[in-house]
Amino acid sequence: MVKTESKGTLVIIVSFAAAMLMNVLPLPQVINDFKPDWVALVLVYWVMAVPNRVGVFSGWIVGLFVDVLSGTLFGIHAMTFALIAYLIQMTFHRLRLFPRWKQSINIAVVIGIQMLLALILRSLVQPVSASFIYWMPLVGALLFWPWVFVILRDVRRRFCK
Amino acid sequence: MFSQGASHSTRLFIVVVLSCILMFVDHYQKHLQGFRSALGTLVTPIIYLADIPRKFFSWGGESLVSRSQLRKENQKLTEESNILKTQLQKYIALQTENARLRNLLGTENKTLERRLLAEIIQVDSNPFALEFIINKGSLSGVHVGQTVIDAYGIVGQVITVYAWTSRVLMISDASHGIPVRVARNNVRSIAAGSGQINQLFLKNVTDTTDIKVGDTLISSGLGQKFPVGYPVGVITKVEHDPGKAYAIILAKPTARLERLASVLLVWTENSDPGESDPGDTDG
Repeated sequence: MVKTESKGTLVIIVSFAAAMLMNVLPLPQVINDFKPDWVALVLVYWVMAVPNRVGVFSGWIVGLFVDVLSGTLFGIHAMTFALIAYLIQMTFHRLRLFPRWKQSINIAVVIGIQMLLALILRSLVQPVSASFIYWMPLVGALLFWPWVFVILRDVRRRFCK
Repeated sequence: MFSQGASHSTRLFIVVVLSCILMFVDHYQKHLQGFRSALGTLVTPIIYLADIPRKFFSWGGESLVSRSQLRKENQKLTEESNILKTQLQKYIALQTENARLRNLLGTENKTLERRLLAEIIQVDSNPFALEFIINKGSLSGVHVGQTVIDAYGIVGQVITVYAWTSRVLMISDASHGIPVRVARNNVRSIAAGSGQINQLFLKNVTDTTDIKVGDTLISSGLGQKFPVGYPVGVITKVEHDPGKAYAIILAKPTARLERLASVLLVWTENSDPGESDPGDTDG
């Protein structure tokens, strides 16, 4: 039992690392504009799937790493990711029952809240321009959520059982 | 489930307070530099992994070059090297003469700076800042505040140092400023970044100041942060608006900021690690 627990933790950590890698992977500009925050999507999945193991604190720690990786002010991603974890933890019962497209919309809304908060926090210390390009990744999140869900579900079923 | 709901809120509250403290400390103080470096070093493998595709393609591009092309390039480089060497002869003579004159004047002699070539490993990180990551870190002696140049001029300065990598802020970032002077007549000013990669603007220059389109800006070394005499930009536009207190002066960085592949780190004599702070944010 303990062994599967630790194995599950390892899988979760690896999935977050992979998401961070995909976040920083340089891509053509057109794709880049739509690229969702993979770490946020993965976080949403794990909170939804195993809310007793991945929660507000885990979200916060992951956010710290994202802050370092993207060079933003310490705490911006940490705080906003903790917020994501909190919002999903409040609603995961319903989210699990939703059809996939409805899930997508709900999660895009949560990520939109996260991006808005991140933008506000960032604007406190540096000039930001929130043109509509800033919100493009929401479209990406909407489109990619079903895939992230299916992939991570398979990963969880294979490695965490 | 409901009893857990309260604990989630408490957790969120704790975490939000912690984050606020972190943000405050990170913005106003430098106590978190070490922590940031440590965490950053932990995620360095991710950065290196993300760089593999680019490395692979550039390696492929280099390997799949025909013999004649290589010969041509070799010839071109040899010619260029010869020309530069002849120019250097003159430079050495000038340098010794300069040193002699400085001795006569009794001012301290400035020796050559130490330099290190660094490669850029990834550009896609923070959409609001003009930054990039280079493949040299504290293990190579890089320190915060260090000047970064390319073959054509000043690129920016190091703002965070990890063990094997460090993060560089470009001079055209909106939060950056660099003290400059016009090479033609030594008019001093501050070249602030505009947030667009290829544009700087001069702050608080009066309408009567003698600055023309085409003038070269070089670093004045007044902030004690950048070495003296490196090219920074070329004036592209001078506009006098009677309704405004100052002239609007735009410049284009001489460094090729949007096409950087490798850069040079410069150690100046008066740059001692630890003391220097990141942003010339007064600019």
